[in-house]
Amino acid sequence: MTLASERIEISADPREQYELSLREQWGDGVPQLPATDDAIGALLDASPYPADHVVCVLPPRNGVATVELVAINAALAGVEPAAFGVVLAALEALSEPEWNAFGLTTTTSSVFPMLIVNGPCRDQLGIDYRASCMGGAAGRGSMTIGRAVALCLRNIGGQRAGETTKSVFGQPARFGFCIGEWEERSPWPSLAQRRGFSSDDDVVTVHGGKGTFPMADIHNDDPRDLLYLISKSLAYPLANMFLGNVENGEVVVAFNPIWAERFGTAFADVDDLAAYLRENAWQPIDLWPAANAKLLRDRGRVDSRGRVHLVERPDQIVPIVCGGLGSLHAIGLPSFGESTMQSKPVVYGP
Amino acid sequence: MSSSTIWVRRPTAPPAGDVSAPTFRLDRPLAGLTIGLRTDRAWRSWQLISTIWDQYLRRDGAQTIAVETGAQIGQPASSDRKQIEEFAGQVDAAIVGLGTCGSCTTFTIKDAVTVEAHEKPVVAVVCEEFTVHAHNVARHVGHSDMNVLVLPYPLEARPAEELQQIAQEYYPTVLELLGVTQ
Amino acid sequence: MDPAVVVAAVDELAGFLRADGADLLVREADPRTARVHLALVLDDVTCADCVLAPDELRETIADALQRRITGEFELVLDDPRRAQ
Repeated sequence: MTLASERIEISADPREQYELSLREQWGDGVPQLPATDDAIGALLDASPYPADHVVCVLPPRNGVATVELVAINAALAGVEPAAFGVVLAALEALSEPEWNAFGLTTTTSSVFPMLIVNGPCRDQLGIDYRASCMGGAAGRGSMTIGRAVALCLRNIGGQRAGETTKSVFGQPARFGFCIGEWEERSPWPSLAQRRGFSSDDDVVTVHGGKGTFPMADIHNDDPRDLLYLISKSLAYPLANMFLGNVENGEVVVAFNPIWAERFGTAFADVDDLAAYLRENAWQPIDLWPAANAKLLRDRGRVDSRGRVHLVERPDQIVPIVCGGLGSLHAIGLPSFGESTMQSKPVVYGP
Repeated sequence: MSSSTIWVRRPTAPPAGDVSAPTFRLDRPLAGLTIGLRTDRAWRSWQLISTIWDQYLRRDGAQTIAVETGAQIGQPASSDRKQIEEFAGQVDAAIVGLGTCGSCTTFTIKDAVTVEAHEKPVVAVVCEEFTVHAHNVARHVGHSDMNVLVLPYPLEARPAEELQQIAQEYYPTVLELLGVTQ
Repeated sequence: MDPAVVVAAVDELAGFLRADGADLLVREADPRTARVHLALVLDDVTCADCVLAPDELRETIADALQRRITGEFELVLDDPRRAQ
């Protein structure tokens, strides 16, 4: 195996390796595993692509992400070989022009790639989709795949807080965010199926999400009432999607399995559910102060009833099912706006 | 350092070479020239400043073309980028703004690069907080010598009178960066 | 969730119910959905009052299963007394 990347001799002491990663700015502030040729080789063996195959070019510094360079970062993150294809698919997805990596890697917003995985690989790779899937479940796949993508954006794309990325706050997902959908508990086709894939395909969908927006209710079991409240919650006044073009961007809303089942009895067709959410995801123009209201009017965002809708079309609200059985909660993954989620199938090596 | 060592591979991409595409200057007076102004739907402050500069440019003998962009993806973005391409072909020089957030700075530079790729003088207008970012983006796309005009930050919520003063104060610098002579 | 563990646990619980002519059956124990669906059978019950009240029975079953099953699961218990 011939690798092109620079070879460096480092201390075998893990603590000294950590200090080096901080000095060299390779890392995200968390200890890493050493990217030895053996570790890299095992990852490369799991991919059908040669090491010098260019996966994508990553902004903001337009770093060329070869499979080898991605493997090095995946090795740092502790990605197991069977999961390497998921990392590659995620990078392919976020480098699609309509995902707008050019804008999303440099914005003041907190937006970051949020990976949603469908398919049989979820359990095999330890991708969390049940209780605490968005933080705390500690599945190997979830913690390492998301982190590998984040390290690629940092080490290959050159994202550096305050320098090349102007994100004011960042967000926890910038360490890495990778969840699965609990397909078996969803009353609807999975996200991947709705996007044209089969239930047997392993698929990564990358959403430009600004964070996790929590919603809770303990009072009302009526599905329409709950969905109405969810719609209103998603349409919070300072949502990015009120700032720009109404036709761009999607907001993901994650339902826990208990609520999903309830919603499925009211809306057997997920498109009807999305239409209901869209219909109710609005705020009255009077909510905004005069200066903001004027801009919304000038941009044609106010309809004849004085309503400002969050999105133009139902398909811009994307339901998924995941989370634990404690019910009571939903999570919104608000959109940056100028980005369209992208899905790619996972390709495995021989 | 402990005595035992291991060999690892560097995880970073090699730095892009500091290539800079050429920049251009008018080296002539404004009279008879067509100057383009690119605004952004998002920024009211920039719309006002560029309207004032539009008036000044016409007062000083130039014709002007104004285009407005506002999208980064989808059909609206395709239309915007196509419009910028046409705009770059039509003008003798252009003023492109406004970089007053992360992604809008990125797209300001992107559109300014389109003008420069047509071998026309261009000034990218950004706010102070995003100056380093603008230069970084310009360098990463191979236009490290691009002219960047820096305006105060924040700009958006300033009253109209202040924006008028800023427009007046910075207009000579715009002309200087474009290489306008007397 | 291991279905075999669920079946064994339910069988143990059912032993107590069978003494009174009742039974507890596993309809579903699916690790993919984390759902344990049980059915209480009272067709041949000889002492109806001897069977724990619905809420208490459900709690007892849930506790017994939770002690044996790792992770969350949803217990669905078909109790004919609730249908009345």
